[in-house]
Amino acid sequence: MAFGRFEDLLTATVFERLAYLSGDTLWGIIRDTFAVPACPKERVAKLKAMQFWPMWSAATDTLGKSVEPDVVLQMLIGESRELWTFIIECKLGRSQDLIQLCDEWEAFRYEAAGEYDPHRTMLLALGGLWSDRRLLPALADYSQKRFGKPLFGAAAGWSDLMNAVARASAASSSEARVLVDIRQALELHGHRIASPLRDLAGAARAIGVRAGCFSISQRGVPDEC
Amino acid sequence: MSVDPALSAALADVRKAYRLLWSYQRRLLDTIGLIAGEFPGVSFASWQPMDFYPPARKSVNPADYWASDLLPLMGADFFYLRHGNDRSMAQRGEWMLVINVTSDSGYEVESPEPDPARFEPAEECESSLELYIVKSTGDVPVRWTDGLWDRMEWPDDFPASILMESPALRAFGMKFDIAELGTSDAVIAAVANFKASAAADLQLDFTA
Repeated sequence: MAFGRFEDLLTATVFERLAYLSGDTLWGIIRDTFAVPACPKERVAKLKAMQFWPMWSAATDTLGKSVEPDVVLQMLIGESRELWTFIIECKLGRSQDLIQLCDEWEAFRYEAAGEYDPHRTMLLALGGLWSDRRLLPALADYSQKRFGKPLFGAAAGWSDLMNAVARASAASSSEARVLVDIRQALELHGHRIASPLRDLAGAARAIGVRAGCFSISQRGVPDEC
Repeated sequence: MSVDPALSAALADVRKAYRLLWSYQRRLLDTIGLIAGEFPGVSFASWQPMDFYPPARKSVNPADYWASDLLPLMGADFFYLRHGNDRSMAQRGEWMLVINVTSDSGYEVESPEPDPARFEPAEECESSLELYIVKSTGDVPVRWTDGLWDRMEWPDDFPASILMESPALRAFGMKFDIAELGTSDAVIAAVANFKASAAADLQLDFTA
């Protein structure tokens, strides 16, 4: 239960703030976070709608229940303003569930009817990635069996979102403040931009320590560091 | 009072060393977090310096102890337990992840307090990270750290499959050169390798 509460809080905190960004910046962050070739490459985008926990009941007869995805993001992408729908399922401290993801897809197909376009609808799994990183192949297999075709999906961790937010270029000072706010929210939940060990040599140079510098001193060679 | 130029230069080196250590420790802790993140359903339980006392509490005079107590990441263990497991006592069949860091294999722990100037040359020593899964196999609950881990026989060779009757445990360990773990991709690949081997050795399913 505690995980569920934190999950909802983090989801709302982050996505409510993402909605304040310009369409281009928001789309850049989504593209960077999920880094999938299937995403449209266009950089121009406009936010059409962002819904939190919509209750979808149109497929209740088929699924036996209503379905409630965490976030539904609809964007008009590119100069041609193609409507794309992203069904986002967020997990914090627990794993993504293939059945849940596919239920959400199916529920949207019933719910959206006229707006449903299988080529412009994508499932985005945020957090709760499987340890073997095989969530997407498993989703493709499962959806193939269930629907006769693999679903469009992408997956990323909260840290990927954190890194994407850190890399994003703010279009204005107000956007910069929103980006900082999102980073702080993620940091409060334990997500920080990890520094890889490979960068240590660069950090050492910045400090004024050359690689092997201490070794030279130890061997009695004059210290040139 | 005159400034000793050699001491002044040495102190500049110390300042650089502290900054370098800070940078190293930040990256090391991030790497440890990345490793732990590859085990879903597992969270941090505790940590301890491997061979020294933890840094002294405010009311304890550090001067009464070795200076190395203030360098706990020279060698340290990080313990992670599955959600829902008893945080202090290991029940039969439960397991923990241990990330053991040896930042400098050259340090010595024989009393009296050693002089680091006499350690083996740093170039001939290692900086390594060992990963273990330790599984309790006894019927009687036992404390995770001082009951199981601290009493486990340390392997000399890796990968290591460890079977003990007292304390009753099975464990699997692998050792990695920290220089091989420079990027996230390298860390994730090393952990995947470890998980596959540990799962086979201990008949565990890390996806469950």
